[in-house]
Amino acid sequence: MSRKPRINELHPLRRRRFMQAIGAAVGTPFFCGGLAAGFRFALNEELFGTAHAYTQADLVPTYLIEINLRDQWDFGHVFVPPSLATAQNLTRGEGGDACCLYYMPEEITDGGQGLYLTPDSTALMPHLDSIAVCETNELCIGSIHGHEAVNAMRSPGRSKTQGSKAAVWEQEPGFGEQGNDYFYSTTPTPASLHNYVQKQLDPTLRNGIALKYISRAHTVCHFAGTKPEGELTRIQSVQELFDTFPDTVEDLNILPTPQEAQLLAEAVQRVDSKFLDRNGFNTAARERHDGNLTEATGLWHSGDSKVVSMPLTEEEVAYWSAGVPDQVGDNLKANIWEQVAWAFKLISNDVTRSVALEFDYLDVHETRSQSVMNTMGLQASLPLARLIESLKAAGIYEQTLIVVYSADGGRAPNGNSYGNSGKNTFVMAGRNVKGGYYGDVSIAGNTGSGHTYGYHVPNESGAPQAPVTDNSNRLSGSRSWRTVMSALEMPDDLCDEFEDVAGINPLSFMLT
Amino acid sequence: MKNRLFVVPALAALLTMGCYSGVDVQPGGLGLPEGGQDDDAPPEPTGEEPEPDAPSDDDTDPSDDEPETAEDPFEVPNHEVRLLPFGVRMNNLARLLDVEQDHFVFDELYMRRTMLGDHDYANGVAPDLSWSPTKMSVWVKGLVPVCNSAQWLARYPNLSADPAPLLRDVLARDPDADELAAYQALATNAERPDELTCLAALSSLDFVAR
Repeated sequence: MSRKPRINELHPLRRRRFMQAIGAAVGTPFFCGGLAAGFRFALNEELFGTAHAYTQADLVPTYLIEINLRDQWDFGHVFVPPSLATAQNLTRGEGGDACCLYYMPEEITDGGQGLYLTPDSTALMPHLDSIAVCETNELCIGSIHGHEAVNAMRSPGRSKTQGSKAAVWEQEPGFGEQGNDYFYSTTPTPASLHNYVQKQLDPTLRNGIALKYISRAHTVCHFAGTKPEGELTRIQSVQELFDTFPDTVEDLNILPTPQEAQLLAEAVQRVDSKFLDRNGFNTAARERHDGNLTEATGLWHSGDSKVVSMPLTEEEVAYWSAGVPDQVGDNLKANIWEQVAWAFKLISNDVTRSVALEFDYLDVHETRSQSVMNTMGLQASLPLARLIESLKAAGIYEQTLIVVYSADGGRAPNGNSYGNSGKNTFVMAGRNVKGGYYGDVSIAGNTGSGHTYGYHVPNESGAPQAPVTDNSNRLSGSRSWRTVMSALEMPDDLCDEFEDVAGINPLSFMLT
Repeated sequence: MKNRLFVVPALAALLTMGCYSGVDVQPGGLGLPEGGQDDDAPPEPTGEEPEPDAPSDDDTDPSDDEPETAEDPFEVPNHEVRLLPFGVRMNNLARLLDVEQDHFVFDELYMRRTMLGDHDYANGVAPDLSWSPTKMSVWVKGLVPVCNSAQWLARYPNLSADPAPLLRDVLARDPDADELAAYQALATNAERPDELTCLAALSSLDFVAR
């Protein structure tokens, strides 16, 4: 029988200080040297509960960088499916059913484990042992040729029918239906759940962020569900990012003492309680508001003296931007190389541990020219390679998982693919990842002007199975979700709390 | 062609029957049920309340003529606090201080207006009315110069000793004993009680939320 953690007996406003104190105490050399791990584990279990004890005892933070690429991103020039990479007499072209792979077999490099790179993506070569790719996942179902802001891989079980599920879009500023669609779910999206867990581990962490830098009205939904403490801070502009992470100590301590911050929080909490009563807000609203006040208390006086300057220096710009095409879209917000650079700064300084990026290439219909494929290839591969290289140099790559999604579905290889057929891609790199391309896309037949294509879902050992030529027989989104969570070593009992992923096995062939 | 002979009179009948009723105010207020008076003008009030159960002199079910009870005409969101729009908050703040909205004392708040939920559509920033920890933090930071301004100190002198005038302005009513006690606790325990009282009142949901 599980026991309620004693930490829950504390008022939320007191919980933060207590956890800081106990964290500092357990972390001292005296405790580390003098107390056996078993005793510390028992202490953690008594105070924080079983699930928390796992992570508290581990004392190793993990980092997650979730990169969401819209509109229906094609990784065709980044990771070429093995059968297409080696196909002879491929009919290439930008429209119809011709394959929009613009490199010949002799220009494509076999990186091993099914990973074939084009000249656009060879920068990834040194890191392939820890990059895993799977493209034969459950397809997107948005009403406009698949466009959606959730993706079954990010929130398995998402549905357009509410039932007992919760709306996933409510925290997204300016959310509109077109190209996003209204979905309901119970499964938290990866960065939100990771943020929740990491903040349990270390209450002094800054909240995780989502950089809302898609150029169109399209967006990506982040959803914490029953773990509202995991809701990410949405940042809509570059200036907002810089203001959220100020580079002066004064800005980190708005009130001069922690006592004042605490007094302010207590007074506000007390009067707000009456407001919530009078206006009929439910328990969830109260809990969320109390949690937000607790977190704000730490922002009013963080006690920090370490600042991280978010604007990039000339050197940093030169490193991250070289050769990466600019964002292609309606209302340009931030380049992908900039976003990745900022994510690295935040992660490598342990300011926050969960960062979600949003980026797009303007939706392309009917034809996809070589320029389109080159641009997407370079935008996806160069920042990823530099991010991995930088994380390795900082000594935290083994603690970090990078996961990249074609957030609203991918494409079939044919030039006129709209994005609601063929592939739906996720790429993992870093912690616990076993490199390889899992599954395959092949030529199923010739049409004279191009081809029909076959999609091979990997079996339980990762080998490609017999192909299908339609949208059937894809991997459930719950498999990729559990794979990401396993790579992050998220507790199974936590993952099993969510009905649409409970008891689901990860794609173990993608994990070390 | 033959069908049109039926369609046109049917449409005319529907229109004259008042199916398109818009938002005409009916006796009893907005949102009354369909099937009421067809006339454009509402009936003159008689000053007498109709007997709810009085028998009707026609052969229709009496309940047809009664207003339906409006059961949950729409759901008021109660699962999350939402902020007043940024412009409304700033307007309320300016009225408290009796200054213009563009007074320099608000510069810190305007500098971070999009972080506080304001929109900037030209740059792709949509309004965001969630009351998040970051917004709480930025809002308090922006209020510090307001709470220390000459205008504020003139308007609410000796605030910690008597917060009631400020609370009346914030709440639009007299504060109750619990509310006064919350602010008195600040006055008792804080080293800078006036500023903290100002920050608390202007950061309370009564002031910022809807």
